[in-house]
Amino acid sequence: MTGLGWESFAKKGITVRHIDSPVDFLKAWNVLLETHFGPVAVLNDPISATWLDLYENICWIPDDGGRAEILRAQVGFTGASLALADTGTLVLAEDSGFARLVSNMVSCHVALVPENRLVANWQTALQRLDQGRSHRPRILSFISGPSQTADIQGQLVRGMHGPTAVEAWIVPAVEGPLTLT
Amino acid sequence: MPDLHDRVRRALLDDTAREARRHGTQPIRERVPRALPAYPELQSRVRRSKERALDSLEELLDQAGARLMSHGFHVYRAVDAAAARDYILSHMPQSSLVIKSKSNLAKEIHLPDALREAGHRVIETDLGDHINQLMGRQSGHVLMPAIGVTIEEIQKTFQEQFHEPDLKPRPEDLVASARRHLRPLLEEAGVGISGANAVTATGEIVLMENEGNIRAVTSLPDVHFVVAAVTKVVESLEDALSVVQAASLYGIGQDFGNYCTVLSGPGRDIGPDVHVVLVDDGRVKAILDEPEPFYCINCGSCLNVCPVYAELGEAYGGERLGGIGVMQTFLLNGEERALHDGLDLCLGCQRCVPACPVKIDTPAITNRLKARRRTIPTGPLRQRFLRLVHSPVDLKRSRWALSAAATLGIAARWHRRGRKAEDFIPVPTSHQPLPAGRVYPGAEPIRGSVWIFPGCVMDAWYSGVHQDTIRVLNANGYTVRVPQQKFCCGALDAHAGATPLGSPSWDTFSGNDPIILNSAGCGAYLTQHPNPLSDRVEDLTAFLTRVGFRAPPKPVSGTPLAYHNPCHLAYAQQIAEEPRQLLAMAGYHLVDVPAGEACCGSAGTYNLEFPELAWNLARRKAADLGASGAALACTANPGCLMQIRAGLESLGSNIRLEHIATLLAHAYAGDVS
Ligand code: SF4
Ligand code: SF4
Repeated sequence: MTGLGWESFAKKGITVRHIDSPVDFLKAWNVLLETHFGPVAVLNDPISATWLDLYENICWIPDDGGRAEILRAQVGFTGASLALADTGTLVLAEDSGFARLVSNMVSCHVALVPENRLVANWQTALQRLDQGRSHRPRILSFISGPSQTADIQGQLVRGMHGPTAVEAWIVPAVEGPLTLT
Repeated sequence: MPDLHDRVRRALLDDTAREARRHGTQPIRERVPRALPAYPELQSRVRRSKERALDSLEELLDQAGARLMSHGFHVYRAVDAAAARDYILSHMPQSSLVIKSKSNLAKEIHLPDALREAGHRVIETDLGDHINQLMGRQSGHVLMPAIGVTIEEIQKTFQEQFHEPDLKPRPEDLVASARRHLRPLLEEAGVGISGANAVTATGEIVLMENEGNIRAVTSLPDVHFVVAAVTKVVESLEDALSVVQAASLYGIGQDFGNYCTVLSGPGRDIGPDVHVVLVDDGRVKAILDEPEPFYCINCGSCLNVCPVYAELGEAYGGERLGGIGVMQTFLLNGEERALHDGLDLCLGCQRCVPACPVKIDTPAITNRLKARRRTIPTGPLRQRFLRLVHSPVDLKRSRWALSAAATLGIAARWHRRGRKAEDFIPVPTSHQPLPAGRVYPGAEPIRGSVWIFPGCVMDAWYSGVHQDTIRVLNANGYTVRVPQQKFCCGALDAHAGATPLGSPSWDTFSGNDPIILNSAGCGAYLTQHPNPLSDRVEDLTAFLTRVGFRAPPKPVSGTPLAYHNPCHLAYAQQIAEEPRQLLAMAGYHLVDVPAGEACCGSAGTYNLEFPELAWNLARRKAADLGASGAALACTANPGCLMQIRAGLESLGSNIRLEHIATLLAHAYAGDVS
C-alpha cells in the first residue's frame, strides 16, 4: 500500500510488531507471553489459522470452546479484516459474534493484520467491505487502542472494561474474504 | 429539584466541584482545536445529514424499521416513555440482573427506576455513571457523568462499597478496582441495555465508546435492548460514522472513539437477541416546530466551552443539561419546565456555536423560544433597564446621575463593597452624546466616508468612546457622519426575550456607506438578525483591517497590554485576530491573559437577572487580567467594559481598562501614559 503507514497505531497505544516469517512470529509470541501469562483463546479465522496452526495449548474458538473459555482467557488472538491508517484503527468484520467477544473480554488482544489490509480511513474501509457483497457483515468492531476512561478527574487511564493491551502484528498479505467468521 | 435561583446560588458556592469540572474539561478544550483541522468538511457534513434525516424522519423511520427487522432485530416504536418502559419490562425475565451503558434517553424515560421497581437489579457499567450510582448523585455531564466528583470522594466510595479499605486515591488503582468489581456482574447479567449514537435507515445500529462496557453490554447477556430516540435516525452508515467521528472529535478531541460497534444483525452463533426500541415521546411533533435542537448528537462539546456550565455544572439544566438541554426540554416538556431548568441562564455568548459539530445555534434558538413565552419573568431591574435604553431622555438623565456618582467616588465604593452585579454603576465618560447629523471630516488623503452607529447605552454613557472611534476613523482617512436618529439595535430586548419597543428608523443611515460599530454586542445582533442594515454594519476593527490600517505615525512604545476579546466578537462575528493586530500595529505589546477566552458575564442584561453568577465571572475575568502583569487592559464592547471595570474595582486592582478605540486614538495623539 502506497503512502499509508502504521504510525498512528502506536499513537493510539497499540503495540505494532512486524512479522515476516514463522521465526518472527515465535519471537513475538514469546515476548507476549512473558508479560501476559495465562490461557490463550484464538478465533478460528483464516488469518489466525495460518499462523497459529502449529501452536499448542491454545483454545480455538469456537472449535475447542465458547463463551466460558473466552471469559477465562488472558490473551485473545483474532485476524483483522482491515486497518485504518488515519485513525490507527483495527476493523473486525464478522457474522458469528465470536470476534467481538475474543477481542473485548481478554486482558490482551492481538490482531493479526495482513499488510494488504491497510486502507486510508473508514470511508475506504466501507467501500472495501461493500465490494461484491449484498449484505454487510453482521458485526463490525472498530478498535483504536486499549480500553480507556477519563471519568476520574479527567485523567486518561487504560484498561477499564476491555483489554488493557492491544497489539497489531503485521503479517504478509492474505487474500480472500474480509469477514473473519 | 430546588428552585432555579436557589440551585444557582448553591452551585456558585461549590468551589470544589467547579475546580473539578475545570480539571475535567480543560484537557478537552486544549485537545479539540488541535484535532479538528484534519477534518475540515466534517461539521458541514454532519449538519447536512442531520437536516436531511429530520426533514424526512417518518420515511426514514419506516425504512429503518423494515431493514432492522429483515436483519433479525426486533423493532418497537414507542409513542411515549410509558410505552417504551412497558415494552422492555414485558420482554425480560423476572428479577434480571441488568447491565446498562450510558443512555441519556433511558434516564429521560425513567427506565432504570421502572426496572428497579419491577424487581430487577440495574448496574450502570460506564465508570462515571457507576460512580454516580454508588454515590446516589445526578450525572454532571453527558460524556463525563462523574465530572465534579473529587478523587477522594471516589476513593472513599469504593473503599466502602467494594470493601477495599486500602485503596489509594490514584486513578489507575481506582479504575482497576472498578474493573475487578464490575467484571463478574458483566458476566452474570441476563439483560443488557444500551443507547445508540445512530440508527441507519439501512438497518444498522452504531455505538461509540472508550471503555468497552458497551461492547460487553451488547454481547454478553441473553437479551439486549437498544433504547434510542427517533431523532437518532440517519440515512446511511456513512452518515452514522460521520456522526460518531464528529462526536468523538468535538466531544473529547479524539479522532475516533476507542471502540465503534456497528450492528447489522445479532451475532449468528453467539450474542443476545436484540430489541431496538425507538422512542418518540413528543419528538416528531417537536421537530415540526423547531428541528435544530434535535440535530444534537450529544457530544458534550457545548458544555465544555460554556461559561455558565463552568460555573454551575449540572445546575444548568434539568434532566437534560446545558443550553441545548433546556431548549429540548422547552420543546418536549413545555415552557415552565424549561424556565425552571434555566432558560434564562444562557448568556448568549455564542461560544458553543462554533464548538458544536452540528453548528447548533443554541443562543439564537434560546432567544426565539424566550420570545414565545407568555410571561416574561424578568426582574424589575431588568425591565427598568430595558425601558431606559429606549428612552433618550431617561438615558440622558441617567448619565448625569451616574457621572455624579463617579465623581463623588460612590461608584468605586460600591464596587469594592459590592457582591452583586446589581450594585454595578457604570462610570460614564465625560462627553456629551454625539450631536445628531454632525459630520467629522477625515484626514487627507480622504479614502471615503462612513456612518457611526451611536446605539443607546454607548451613546449615553460612553460617547467618549464614540469620539475616539471617530478620531481613529478620521485619522485613517474616513469622514464620519452621525445619523439624525439614534436607536437601540434591539439586542438587549432579544436577549431578554422581549419584543423591541417601536420600530427603528433604519433609513436614517442613507446611501450605501458602511456603518461602523464599536459595540461587539450590537454588531453581533445587527449582522445576525435580518434587518435593512445587516450588509452594511461592520465592527471598527474588522473595517480598519479590511481597508488597510494606517498605523499611527508615532506608535506607542511597547506598553504592555492585556486584551479581552468580547464573546460577541470572537464567537458571534469570528473576529479574533483583527483587534490584536491593530493594537500591535499601534505599538502596544500584547501579553497573554490566562483563560483569555472566558466570558466576563456581562452579556446584555444578564448581570441584572443573575447578579451573583455575573459577578463571579466578572471577578474571575478581572483576576485573570491582573495575572497577566499588564497595567493597561482593553476590550471592544461597552458591556464588557462596564462589567470588567466593576470587577477590577471590586478587587481593588489598579489596572486601567479602556475601549480599543480609546487606545488606538491615544496612539494617534501620541499621549499614552
Ligand atoms: S451561548 Fe454561551 S452561555 Fe449560552 S449556552 Fe452557549 S456557551 Fe453557554
Ligand atoms: S449541542 Fe452540539 S455541542 Fe452540544 S452536545 Fe449537542 S451536538 Fe454536542
